[in-house]
Amino acid sequence: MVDFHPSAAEAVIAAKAREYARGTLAQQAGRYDDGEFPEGPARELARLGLMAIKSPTEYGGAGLTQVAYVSALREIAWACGSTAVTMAVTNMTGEMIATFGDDAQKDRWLRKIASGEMLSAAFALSEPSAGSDASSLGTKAVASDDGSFYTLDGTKSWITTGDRAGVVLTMARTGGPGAKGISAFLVDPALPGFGVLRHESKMGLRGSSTVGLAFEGVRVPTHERLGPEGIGFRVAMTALDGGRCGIGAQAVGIATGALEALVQGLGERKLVDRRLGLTQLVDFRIADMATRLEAAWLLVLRASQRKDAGLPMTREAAMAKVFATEAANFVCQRAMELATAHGLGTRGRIARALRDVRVSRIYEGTSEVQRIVIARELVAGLG
Amino acid sequence: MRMQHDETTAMIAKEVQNLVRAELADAAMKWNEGHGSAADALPKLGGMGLLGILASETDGGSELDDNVLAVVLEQLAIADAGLAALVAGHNIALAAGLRAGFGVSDASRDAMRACAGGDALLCWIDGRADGHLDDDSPAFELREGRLYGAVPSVIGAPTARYAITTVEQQSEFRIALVDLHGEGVDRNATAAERELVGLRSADAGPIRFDGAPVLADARKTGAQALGRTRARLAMAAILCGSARAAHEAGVRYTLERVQFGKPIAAFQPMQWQTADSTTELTGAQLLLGRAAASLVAATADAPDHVDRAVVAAFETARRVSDRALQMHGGYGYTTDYAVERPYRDVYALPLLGGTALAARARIAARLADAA
Repeated sequence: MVDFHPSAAEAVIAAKAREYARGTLAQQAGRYDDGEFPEGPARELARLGLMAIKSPTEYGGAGLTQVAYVSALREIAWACGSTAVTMAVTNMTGEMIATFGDDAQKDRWLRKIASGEMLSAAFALSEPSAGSDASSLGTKAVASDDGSFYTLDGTKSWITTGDRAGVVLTMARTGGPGAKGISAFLVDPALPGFGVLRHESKMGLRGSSTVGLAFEGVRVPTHERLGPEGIGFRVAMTALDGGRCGIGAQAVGIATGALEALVQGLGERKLVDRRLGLTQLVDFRIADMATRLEAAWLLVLRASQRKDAGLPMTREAAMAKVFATEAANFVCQRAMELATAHGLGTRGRIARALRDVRVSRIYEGTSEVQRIVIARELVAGLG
Repeated sequence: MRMQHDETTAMIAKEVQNLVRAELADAAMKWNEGHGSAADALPKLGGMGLLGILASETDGGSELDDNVLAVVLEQLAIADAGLAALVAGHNIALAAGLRAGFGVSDASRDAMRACAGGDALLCWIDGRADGHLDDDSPAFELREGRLYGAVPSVIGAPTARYAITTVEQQSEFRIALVDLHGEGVDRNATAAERELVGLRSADAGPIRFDGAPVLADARKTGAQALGRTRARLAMAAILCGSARAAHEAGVRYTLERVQFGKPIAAFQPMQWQTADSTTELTGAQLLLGRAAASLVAATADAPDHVDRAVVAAFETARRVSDRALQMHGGYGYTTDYAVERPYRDVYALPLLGGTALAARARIAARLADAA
């Protein structure tokens, strides 16, 4: 029998996130939608143990599960998408250090992430010409003759909190073309040659900074290579498998916030609906929205449970992401339509949710990429 | 059945299209970033006679028809839905005011002539008690020649000089003209009130009347009903234009963007999406054309044709703009590309003509009546 109940520890951390999200963060979210980076919330998340949920306790992390992580992330996203994406990328980067890093790397970086000494961490894979086709990335990492460092040259695009991060997990090419020529590096942004390019002006998630990064002869010590040479793409795909569950959870959280705001507002407008002959139409739409979100959340939980059990979950993560993000967009679009009709404003929380949630179908692999992943996995299973 | 525009309509459409390509499309990108607003383009459009499309030449207008109005709005929306919404509200209000007999008295004559010539902007406020976009009940009360009440979002509220609105006086619905520069008018908006999900260039905002004197008022006769139907037709036209802009941008991008060694247009999922979008768009445009023609001919089923055009245009615009944004990937989420704007505008356009939900309810009610 499938057990969808969280463990006691998972429930505790989700409750902690919920209390902060509904008690404090929700009231501040409008500010971050105006473009202010959620620095205060990022520090508070670290204090609450939410920035390194899966990192080992000996390095300051919470030592919990993927289920705990997605449950907490959903609660934070309910209140503020910009804060949630900061939390997501920081946790994801920390998890990769915990998974692929050596003891010195874990000691050096994880403690700073978990304690909040570092405001956030960043994950740099995409490039101007390498979006969905990530394995074609062009950033180069050339080893020095004495083997003590690599020199990184290239440009990265759409890097979440790339200007705020204390460490940037960077994928760069150390070998030939294709996925096997890619390695992963932990780059300290204080290194000479590391530069922040333009800030993207985005439709939503406006509190979360999204920047380009320039690597111009950045000398990264060899001991900051994450794992052996050539496993960078595997690191990235591992990160994205877990990250895709996170994006699904984030999308479900944002959409749940929009749906709850809508239902609360509609309660006072039923009389008008009845007069206009809209009551059943509105009820049916709300029912569809709630049902899709529930199914989406269960897909996210299923993929997360498989990850916690050490089972293959690439297909399940892709399914969770494509279904959850499309369901969440459906919910926010319908919520906006109903909110507009009912004079609940074409602005405010639901409008913010509509704008914030849209990118969830794009980043960490578009819906189209998820479908390719799912189909390939199915075909491979037949073989 | 004619599927082509007549010579005059085609010529006007071409003129507007040229203006869109030469000036308005670039200007709209700046408006979206908060530099200026769509109202900046109104003098030019006034000079082309596009702010008095439905007014007679005697009243200072261009004496054209609803088909031309729809075509002009669709073209303008290719540049910017906010601009098209401003032009729509103005033309609809002007036609309603003239039909109600405004412009005959000394008090209203100058105002109406200034509006027909494009020297002053009018906004149109129909119904919306409690801000409900589909509620026909007037939001304003008329007592002893003065208006009281509030509406949270009106397209063009901060920039318009006059408003034509439905009002309630002792349980009777009337239509009234009011000077927004006069006493008892509050158009101040908080930052939150200005932050619409879409149509940002149109400067939508609240209007509150607290004893604002009316320049003229009249029993609503057919002016309100026709104005309402026109607003719905205008919304459908703008949705079609906005969707077309997004679709064309999407197609261009799939041809330019190379991933996995070839333009993404070479991938079947992209091809299906562009094919679906162009098919749906064609259908919505044909329904729009039929609705406009029925309104010009003043047939009894014109409101039904308009509602069908509204449902098709809304759903098409929602899907087409969504696909176009998705085709752009991360670039589509940024304001550097024009596709994020149509995606948002869809959800603010009901401010002009009500929602597609209510249009569905009306269509179903007519079907039930006919059965």
